[in-house]
Amino acid sequence: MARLDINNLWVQVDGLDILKGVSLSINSGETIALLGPNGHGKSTLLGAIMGHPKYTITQGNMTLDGVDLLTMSTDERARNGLFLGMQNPSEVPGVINSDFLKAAMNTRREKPLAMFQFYKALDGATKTMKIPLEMVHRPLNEGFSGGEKKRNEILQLLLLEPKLALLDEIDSGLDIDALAMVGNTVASLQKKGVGFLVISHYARLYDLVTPTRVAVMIDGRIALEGDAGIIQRIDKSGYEWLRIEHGIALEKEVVPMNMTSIGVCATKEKTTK
Amino acid sequence: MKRFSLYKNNDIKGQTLVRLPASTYKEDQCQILIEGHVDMVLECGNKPKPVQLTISPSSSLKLQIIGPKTNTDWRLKMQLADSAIVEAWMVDLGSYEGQITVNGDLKGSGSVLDWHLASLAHGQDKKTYAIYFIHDGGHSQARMTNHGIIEQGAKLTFTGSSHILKGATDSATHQEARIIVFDPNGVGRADPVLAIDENEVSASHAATVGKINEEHLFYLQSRGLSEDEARRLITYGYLRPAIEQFTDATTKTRLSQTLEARL
Repeated sequence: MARLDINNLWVQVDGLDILKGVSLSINSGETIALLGPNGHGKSTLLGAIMGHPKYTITQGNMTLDGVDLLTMSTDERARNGLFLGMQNPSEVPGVINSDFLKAAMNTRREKPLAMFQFYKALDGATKTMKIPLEMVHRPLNEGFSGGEKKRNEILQLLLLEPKLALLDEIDSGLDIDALAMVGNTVASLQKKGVGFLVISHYARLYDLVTPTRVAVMIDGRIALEGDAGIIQRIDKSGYEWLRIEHGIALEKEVVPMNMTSIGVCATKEKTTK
Repeated sequence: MKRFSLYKNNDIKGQTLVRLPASTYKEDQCQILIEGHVDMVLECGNKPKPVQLTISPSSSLKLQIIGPKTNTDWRLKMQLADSAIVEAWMVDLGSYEGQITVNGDLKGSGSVLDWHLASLAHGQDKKTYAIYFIHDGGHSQARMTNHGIIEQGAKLTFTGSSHILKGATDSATHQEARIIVFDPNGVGRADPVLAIDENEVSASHAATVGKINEEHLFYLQSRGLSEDEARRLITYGYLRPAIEQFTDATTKTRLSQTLEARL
């Protein structure tokens, strides 16, 4: 069992508040759908949970199984059972995918995997994800299509078996067959008790992963929580009904521009003879 | 594939792999004439003598260089005749202080020189590479790619100079230098120079010296790799492609093991 608690989390990027007091809990076996308009802080929340260095926590706290997450480095968070499936996975030149996968799997083990154990696990996971084995011998994500990168993220999810997985628009760039595979993979891990926090703009992914709860983020706050009916509503009517029925302002707070002068514009006077 | 050590000046023909243990040199300068299609490894070892390669018309050379092991300076000269082609890969994992000077003289019309360097500077190492390409022949093409890693206060300098002479019409020359500096005490410098004396040519350069890409580091760490493991994997990945270009499997394995040991 694992439990992630986020309490009144405030996060800044470049001095600007992006998250403004997020509180949310996720338990093993739960799947939470996180929805919200573009640019309202959903990806920031996932990045902050994983400890991305560009996010500064200014208030609040996060705990994983009661242990303060903010004192853990990113790799410690991962080794303690968190996984972030990224929206735009980095291309890391020269680092061979299989070397990376093996190193990542070994971080969770006391004794390194024997070669045959690793290839057995890899063979099974690549077959499940219908990834050609050749792809795992290429440099990590380098030259991969958008869909291949996302499949590679799910491949890692399968091999690393986290306690809680955060999936950031994992469905973007995927064709229908690949989307079904993601759905099947998530379903199989749900049965093993893995918890999920899933960001997507599309009901078709949520149809496959059957969320137990839904949270809607507006302007860096969880504005609404409820059941899967919210997804259908947003899919049908967008977000405007939140304003009408719940009085939730959908606009982001406008930060005034810095009025500092950047200098004086020099103009050349036209002279006429 | 034939293998031998070079004790004196040689003419190399056909498919041949040449090991060049520097400690056995008897001449002040090794002169090698390349004819046909040659696959050659130059191993600098300790205190290597300068090497001069002359590539005959329409000949091609795949040159693989293993850098010096101890403090030294070394010079390599390559002269390319008409339609001669050189593809050169240098892997320098040695621990030393010194300067490597490479002169590529694209004398012949239609000659091609494709140069790649992968260098690791660690600890007390102070490595300088001065690489000069001169385009004398028309329609000549050169590419210079220098990649380096600096760890634990080492110093690494790439100076690349490409000069297209008057008369070398329709020539193309491109330079790329990239250095990753892993710690604040390391010093990295890349100085690309282009000198163009002819119109109707193509020339470019790009140079970056900087820290490791934070997104790359975050990605690897988000899978549980510690910062040290992530850096090790990135360094290995940065230098490995040059090792992969070595034809001889034994040499390739040896270089990979040396790199693993140094990391």
